[in-house]
Order: sequence, then structure tokens, then C-alpha cells
Amino acid sequence: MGFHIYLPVAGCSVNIALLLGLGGVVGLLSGLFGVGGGFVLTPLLIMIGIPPTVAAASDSNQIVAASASGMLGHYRLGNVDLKMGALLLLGGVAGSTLGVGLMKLLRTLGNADFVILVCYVAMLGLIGGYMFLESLSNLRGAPSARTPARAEAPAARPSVFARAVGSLPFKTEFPRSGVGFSALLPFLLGAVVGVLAAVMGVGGGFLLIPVMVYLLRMPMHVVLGTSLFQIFFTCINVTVMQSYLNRTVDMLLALILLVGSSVGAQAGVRISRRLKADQIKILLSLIVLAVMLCMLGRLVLHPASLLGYGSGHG
Amino acid sequence: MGRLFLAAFLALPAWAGVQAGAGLSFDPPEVGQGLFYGGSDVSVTARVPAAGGAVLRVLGPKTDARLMRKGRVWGAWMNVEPLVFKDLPALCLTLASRDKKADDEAGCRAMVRRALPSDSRSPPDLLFSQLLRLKESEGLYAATDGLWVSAPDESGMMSVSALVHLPAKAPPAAYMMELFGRQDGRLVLLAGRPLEVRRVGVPAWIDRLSEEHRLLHGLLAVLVACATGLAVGLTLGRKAR
Repeated sequence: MGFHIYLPVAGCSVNIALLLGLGGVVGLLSGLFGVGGGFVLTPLLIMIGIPPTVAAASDSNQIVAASASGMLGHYRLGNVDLKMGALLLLGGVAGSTLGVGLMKLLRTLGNADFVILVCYVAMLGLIGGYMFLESLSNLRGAPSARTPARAEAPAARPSVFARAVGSLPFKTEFPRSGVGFSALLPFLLGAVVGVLAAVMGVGGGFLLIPVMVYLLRMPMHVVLGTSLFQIFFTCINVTVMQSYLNRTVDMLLALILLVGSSVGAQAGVRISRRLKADQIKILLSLIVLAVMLCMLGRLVLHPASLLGYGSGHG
Repeated sequence: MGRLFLAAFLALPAWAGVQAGAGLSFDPPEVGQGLFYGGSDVSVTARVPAAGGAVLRVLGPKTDARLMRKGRVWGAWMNVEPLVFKDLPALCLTLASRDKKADDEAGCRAMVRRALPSDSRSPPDLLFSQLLRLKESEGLYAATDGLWVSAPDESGMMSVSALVHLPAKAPPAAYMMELFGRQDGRLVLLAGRPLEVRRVGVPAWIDRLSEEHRLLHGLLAVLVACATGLAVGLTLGRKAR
């Protein structure tokens, strides 16, 4: 029968070794690839039978724990742009509150699980596909679309994005990051990440970091600290709101995953030192695409039973 | 078959005439869903008047089950029709001494048939088979032949024993354990007794907190996560250094 743990909110029992293993695998990915891992963890939890709504909400709770020490460390080093972080956070709180309300509505309509699956298939397909193509082209020796030289090359005239950003109101300076643009930009970015955090249980680093580096042109060390600041507080809001409105946070589940992921992350960091960047990237893209295919299978293959629980609870 | 259903249900009022727990004992006497609960095996023994075969039925509380029927929309399976199954038992397990068909006679399938929604667009037979499939996949409905019955002794009594597996998904409730014997071709209730399944320890506490004090539960989840995250970060950070 094995060593099981009973999850009262999920209403089921899961093998502890399996949960620790899943946490470990996600931690390993986190250490290897420098990603949060939330976007892989929620689908894996769904695959082992955790109701999707509980998987997403508990994953947010786990991200609070995972990002706590990192955020504090970056704050002590002065890597958090508090002005930018506050705007991202305002947007994050608004977006996550909207997202939790959306989940409540979808649960009432009986299709919350379906929306979570569709969002994951779309997101994992896009990210996995892009990463796979980019690393493949790098391995073949072709110049990457995102090589630093090209990203930082002086443009003859401002891009469409730069002109659109320039035309936005409420311009403000962010001295810590050494950039200046409309305050609406970080607010909107935070709001999008907040909705994703509530619906999919992801931290949103995969979206925040590229946007802050490539589009907002912030320095990397400030990007890491500020994105962790935003992710930490947004996931706190998601955890409290999901618990209050939807009763979908299983703190036992989150705790066990955290223990597994902490150990896995240490191993991941060590392994990553022995691999080349493009090898790591192509490996991650294959994992992401495999998880996406599993999720897609759940959407399009004939289900075992044509009846199910609308809210995802058994 | 219809007569057999009827016979089984006619036997149910005999409940009142059966001494509570007469000859029926469980080990463990009640099931606690604690922190490391992964389902439970309950040993059931009984000494009852000899009958030609026996059936043990474990019945969960009857509630209105709100389910969704899936349908294909743009190539993907999504919930398309809300359905309410009236008075559906949360769990129905039958263990027979002879053949698994006892499931029909002890009424589990009949109960499912009666629970089918009358206002659905879907054919009743489809709903019936799909509901059984769903419940069987969760281990909540099953019909087996795992009941052991001894030969009658001089006093006309027989011993009955079985190992009932309660799945982890069985919700906390009082489950009726009923032992039927076959007399003159129909099932009669020989003994019955409730088995209490309840959450205990940490799961019970978390369950109550998350249901009755949702905001407090959310704040506590955040506090525990922050404390654990910082503790793990400090411990592993030191080791790494």
C-alpha cells in the first residue's frame, strides 16, 4: 500500500514518495534551468489525480515558500526595485483577484478544469516550441534571435513597441533599474501575471523575466530580485483568495512539494555546471513539450467516463 | 431480476427488526482518516443463522450528486450538461459468497437506476453505465465474491468473514454494513451495523479550518509557507556555503 499522506482539501490520498519525487523533479528543473517550475508542477499534480483547481491553488502556496528566501536574499543585496515592484504588485493583486473571481465563476459553470488544461496546453506549447526551435538553431550554429549582440544593437529608428510605450501616459523614472517609462506598463504586466498565477498556479517568472530584460531593458540582477518580489506577494494574494473564495488550497500538499523541490533544486544546480546552455535548453523544451502532449491528450482523447465532477472534486 | 430487486428492498424495512450489530463485528471498529491514511481494510466477521449463501453490502450516505456530462466541442472534451443524481449512495460495495451478481440483488445498481435524472438530454442507459464506470474507477462502487461463509454448525448458525477495502476517496460518514442471507430464493437481512469513518488528527483540523475559517486558513497557509521556505533556504544555503 505504501506510505501515503491524506490530503483533506484535495479529498484524496497520495503516496508521499511520489509527491516528494515530483517536488524533486520540479526542483531539479528549477536548479538546472533557473525556472520556477510552477508551469510543470501543476500539470504533473493533475496527472497523478489531484483536482486541477486544488493543484493550481496549492502550487501558488508552494511558490510562496519557494520564493521567500530568494526574495529576502535579493532584497538584502539591494536587487529589488521597490518602485517597479510596487507597481507590478498593484497590478498583480488586481490581476490575481480578478483571476480568482474568474475561477469561482468557472467552477460554478463547471468548466474550471477545462480552462486550466487549455491554458496549459497553449502556454506549454508556445514556450516549449519556441525554446526547442531556438536551441536547435543554436546547436546548428545559426545566430539566435535573442543573442545579446543583436538584442543590444542600436536601432536605426525606434521599434513599434518603443513608440507605443513612449506614447503611454504617467511616465515615471525607475532609478534603481536606470530606466523610465509609463507606470501603466509594469501595472499591466503585473496584472497579466496575476491572472496567470490565479488560473494556472504559476509564479509567472517565465513571462516577467523576458519582458523585463528584453522589452523594459532592466539590468539582470534587478530583474531577478524584482520579479521574485512580485511573484512572492502575488502568490500570497492568490493563496489567501483561493482559500477564502474557492477552498482549494491544500497546505499539506504544498509543504511536501516544497521539501522535495528544495532538495531537487540543489542537485539541479550541481548538474547544470556540467551541461552546456543549449543542451540544458533543449532538454527543458523536450520536457515542456512532453507535459504539453499529456495535457493535450486529456483534452482530446475519449475520457474513461463521460461523467465528471464540475469543480474537480471527487 | 425485477422481483429480486423488489425482494431486496422489501427486506430493508426488516432493518428495524434486526438487533443493532447482532452478530456483526468490525476490526477496526471505526476508521480514522489520519495524516497517513491511504484507504483502510476492515475485517468483518459475523455469526448468523445459516442461510443458503450470503451477501455483505457496504452502503454510504445517500446525497444528491452534482455531476457534469462531458461532450465534444471543437474536438476537445468539456463539461456540457449539469446533472443531478438524486439520493445516490456515496459508496456501494457488495461482497457475495457465491457470485458477483449479488450486486444486482443487493440493490446497488437499482439505487443507481433510481438516481438517474429524469430531465437529462442523454439516454438513461448511457448515464447509468457511465456513472457506474466513474464510481468503479474511484473504487467507490464494486461487486466482488470475497465473502467467506462456513458450513452450518449443530446449532444452525454459520460464520461469515470478509475483508472490506474502503478506498481513500470514501468521504467521512457513517457507512451501513448489512449482511443478507438467502432464504427461499430471496435475500433477507440477517445483521446490520453502522461503521463510522471520520477524519482525525491533522487532516480533521485542516478540514475544519479550511471550511469554517477560510481566511484564517489562507493566512496560516501563507505563514507556514514563508516559515518553511525561509528555514529550508537558510539550511540549504549554509550547506551550500
